[in-house]
Amino acid sequence: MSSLTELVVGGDNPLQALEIGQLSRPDVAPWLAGVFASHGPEPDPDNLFERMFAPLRTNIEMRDLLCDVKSQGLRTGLISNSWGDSYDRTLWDEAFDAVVISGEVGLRKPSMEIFELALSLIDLPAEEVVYVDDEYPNVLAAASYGLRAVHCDPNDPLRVQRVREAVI
Amino acid sequence: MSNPVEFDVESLTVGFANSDLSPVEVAQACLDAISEINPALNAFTDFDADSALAQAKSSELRWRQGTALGRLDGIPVAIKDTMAMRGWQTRKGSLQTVGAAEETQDAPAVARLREGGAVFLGKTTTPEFGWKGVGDSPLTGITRNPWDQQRTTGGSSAGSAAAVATGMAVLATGTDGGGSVRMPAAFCGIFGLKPTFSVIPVFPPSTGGTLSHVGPMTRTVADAAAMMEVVARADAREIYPVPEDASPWVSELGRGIDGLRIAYSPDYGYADVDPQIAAAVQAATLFMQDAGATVELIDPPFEDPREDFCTIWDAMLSMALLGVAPEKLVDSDPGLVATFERGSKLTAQDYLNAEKARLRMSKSLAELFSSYDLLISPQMSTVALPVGQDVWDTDLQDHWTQWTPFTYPHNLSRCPAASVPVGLTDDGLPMAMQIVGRHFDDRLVLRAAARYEADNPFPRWSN
Repeated sequence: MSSLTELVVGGDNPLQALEIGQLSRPDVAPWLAGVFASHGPEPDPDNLFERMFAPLRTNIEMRDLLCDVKSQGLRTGLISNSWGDSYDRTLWDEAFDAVVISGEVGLRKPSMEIFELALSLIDLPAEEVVYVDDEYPNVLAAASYGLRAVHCDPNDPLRVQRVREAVI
Repeated sequence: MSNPVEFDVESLTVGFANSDLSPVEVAQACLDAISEINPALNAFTDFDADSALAQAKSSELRWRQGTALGRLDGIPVAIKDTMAMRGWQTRKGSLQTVGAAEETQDAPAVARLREGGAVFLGKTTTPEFGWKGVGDSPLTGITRNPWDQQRTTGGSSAGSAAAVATGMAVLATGTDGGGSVRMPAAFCGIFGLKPTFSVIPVFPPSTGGTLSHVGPMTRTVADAAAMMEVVARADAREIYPVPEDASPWVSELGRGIDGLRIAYSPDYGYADVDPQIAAAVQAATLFMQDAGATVELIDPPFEDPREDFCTIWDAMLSMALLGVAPEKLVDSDPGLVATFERGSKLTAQDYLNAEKARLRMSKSLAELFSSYDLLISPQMSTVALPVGQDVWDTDLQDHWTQWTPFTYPHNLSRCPAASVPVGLTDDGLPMAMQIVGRHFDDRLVLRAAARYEADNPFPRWSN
């Protein structure tokens, strides 16, 4: 089966339109249910995204790393490609100096424009910023924009350690 | 025999023949290594344990019945994901290949391995369309060097090198359009051969066109020879066919190098080589002399053909993204997109002028080989790069060919060229020399490498 990353590839893909806020979850859910159906049982499109995201939990190691970064006085920012808005924003004000949500700004990673916007908000030059992402195409794009980009590979058991070594 | 990095073709097949060992045990050992090691290294795009064990079971039966298909029957092999393998997609490290159909036929080398009873484990990672010398792609992320995970394996046969170095596979295929077998072989401490062009047939035709070669990646020279014996066979689909040479590969290896004339160029006249690598390669040439060859330091064999190589490379690689909608280029490696843009601006005359320069370079090399049997140089000018960098010196370099001065000339020349490990640096990173021969003198290249290996065993990675 194609990964979720691959599903968002394609100029007229509904997920891309969802990411930049042109479509809503209910608009896209029937299409996504159809994609899943081509690989197995068709899920109910009602609340499909909510059910997909329900098992997600905070990565404690990564949260601790973020706290350590902040405690050293470094600036932090968040760029997220959104599939609708179900973010738990608890502590975001303390955790991030700048937040860019794709569906709110009409831009999505890996476009250069979203990196440009984020850097302007955090008010730092690209070469002074470490950028961490779990999607490698975004890492490549960020690196070509001049950020120091680090891949946090979800399959890599040492991923947080590698990010820590790059950041601190 | 439980540690798969100790496996070699000869001892495995002797074990199979004597029923001391089963192909199923060997496949399982490789699969266990994949489970343990691959999550951190990311060498395989995909693997199929059930299929591998079923193939191994069939091989076991053949060995028991005395109907083994040859010296690779039951040997676990990994296939680079630029090569077609029946029933699998060929993704080439690219998000542009999403939805690619499963292949209905094998590439020639894969077909020969299948006919020979090899056990296919899975497919290995490559940078997008094999465009660069390091091991990361938009599709699969970073492939890490087993000797130092903060460094690249090199590319483009990135996963194949990591898989063989760590025992996740016994053998692997690589493809080499600018050094893509030899670079990762050198960085990962294994043996790699780029044979004479077309000796291993290619199909479908590669993005790298007449620069592209298929080659074995192995832990020993003998394993590469065993693989050549199976895959260096004519295939009707090859569009640049060469006559098949059925003379043996493996039994030639022990003939030594007594009386051979070897040219030694430490820098090709334009390379800036890491001092530790330079010293290790020089020591290797002294060994070759002690082993009976005449080794002579030569003047630069040709002018640096880098610009002409890049013209041909950019033209060839630009075809990979031809027809991709402009808004989808953002999903490709930005460096490949830049290659596409450069290649798109070239004229037919630019291309033909570069081909003309290629002929001049090949002529210089042919003249050299009228006086010498082999040419030795360092394989790489540096050790493996840190991950996340496409170039060694990010301030001064902007293209991978600037740190691979010894590889691309022989994609232009189409001569056989082998990457031969010559030990580790003080920091424990592999180094290698390159041995180049005349067209179709692949067996001599292997023979010289085997002579070196006999007294200087290649470094062996351990977890």
